[in-house]
Amino acid sequence: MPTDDGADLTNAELGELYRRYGFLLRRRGRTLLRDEALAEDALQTAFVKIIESRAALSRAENRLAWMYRVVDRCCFDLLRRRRVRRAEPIDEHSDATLAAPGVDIEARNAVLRILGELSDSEYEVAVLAYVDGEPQTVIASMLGLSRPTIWKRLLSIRERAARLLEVTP
Amino acid sequence: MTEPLSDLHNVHPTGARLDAVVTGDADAHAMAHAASCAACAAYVEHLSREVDAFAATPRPEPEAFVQAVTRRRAADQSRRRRARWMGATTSALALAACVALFVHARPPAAPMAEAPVAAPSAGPIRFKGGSQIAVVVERHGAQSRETGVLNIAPGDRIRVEIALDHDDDVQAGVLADDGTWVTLQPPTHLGAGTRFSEGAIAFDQRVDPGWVIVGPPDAVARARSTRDLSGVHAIRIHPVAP
Repeated sequence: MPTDDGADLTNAELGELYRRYGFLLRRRGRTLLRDEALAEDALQTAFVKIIESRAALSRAENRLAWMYRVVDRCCFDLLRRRRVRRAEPIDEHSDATLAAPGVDIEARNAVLRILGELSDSEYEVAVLAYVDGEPQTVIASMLGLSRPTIWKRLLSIRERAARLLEVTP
Repeated sequence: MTEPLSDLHNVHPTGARLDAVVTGDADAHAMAHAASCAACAAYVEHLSREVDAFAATPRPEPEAFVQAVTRRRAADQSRRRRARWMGATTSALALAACVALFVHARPPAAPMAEAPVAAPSAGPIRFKGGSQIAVVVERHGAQSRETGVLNIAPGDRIRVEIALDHDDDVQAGVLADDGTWVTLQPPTHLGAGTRFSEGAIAFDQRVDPGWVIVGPPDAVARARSTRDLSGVHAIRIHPVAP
């Protein structure tokens, strides 16, 4: 594991990180982007950021959670930069039906359809709430915001989803 | 769309906390819960199988992935350096403009020597410096994105993904070991961004070993005539059985 800000990761260390976390991180990117090529792009960008923040990684309580946040950010950048429209229908994707217990798959898939339309702050909350199934107090604590703020953002996400997906909230 | 779960309803560890059981990064509570909850245990087991399968035969292979990340990092650093240079140049120009205004506003005390005009110092940007190349391989309708050696079977189709961080002239194609050349991208001036080659190549019953080559047209021409691949991106094509 990287521990030193001054030293670059060796290729062997980087390869080991990839072997250990690559699958889950790519899966995360695929879930958010629904596109193999873009997910690979996001994964590479995320690894560049991970290399450059290796000290923060080594300090992280949950390294996987920390790296998920990096991948989430890279995916958001791609969604924003390219105004990505998902190439693969969500229901046909192999990860579409696999979600941790506690995650509402229907709500998650609805959010995944509109991720590219959300603002930076909405995106962050939407991923934590609907993709990860994090409770509002945890999201508030993770983002350093009040629970009413999280609630307002969730409300805004639901309204936007309803508009974009043309369903009743 | 339902409301997100309230704190009281979700008894399971969420998101990365549960996934981290698979990688050994989970906290004690998540580990204990996964050991005692059938739904979480099933989820973790499913994920573990996939992670183990990936660790055994990662695609792309770690070497190719590391190479791609290293190239991308170098390109990022180069872009940042250029941005800093541009920022410094802009600041210098702004300062020069201010000085010029100040000098212009002052009554001339004495004839001034004409200031030398600085020529642009940025030379041609090497194609290889700020580019990412990948090959999208389509087999039986499924696509994969490869950055290392390509294992190509009869019936496969390939297309090149070219990502540039600057404008450049680009050409791409497949150079077989016997010298045969098939074009994927005719010489074209591309702007910064990512796009796929205009053409795709479908391999028939016989796949010849060779290289997917991408680079500036002059370097591609040199690669074709001399087999000198130093100025281009070259990805090896390795024929495999269907």
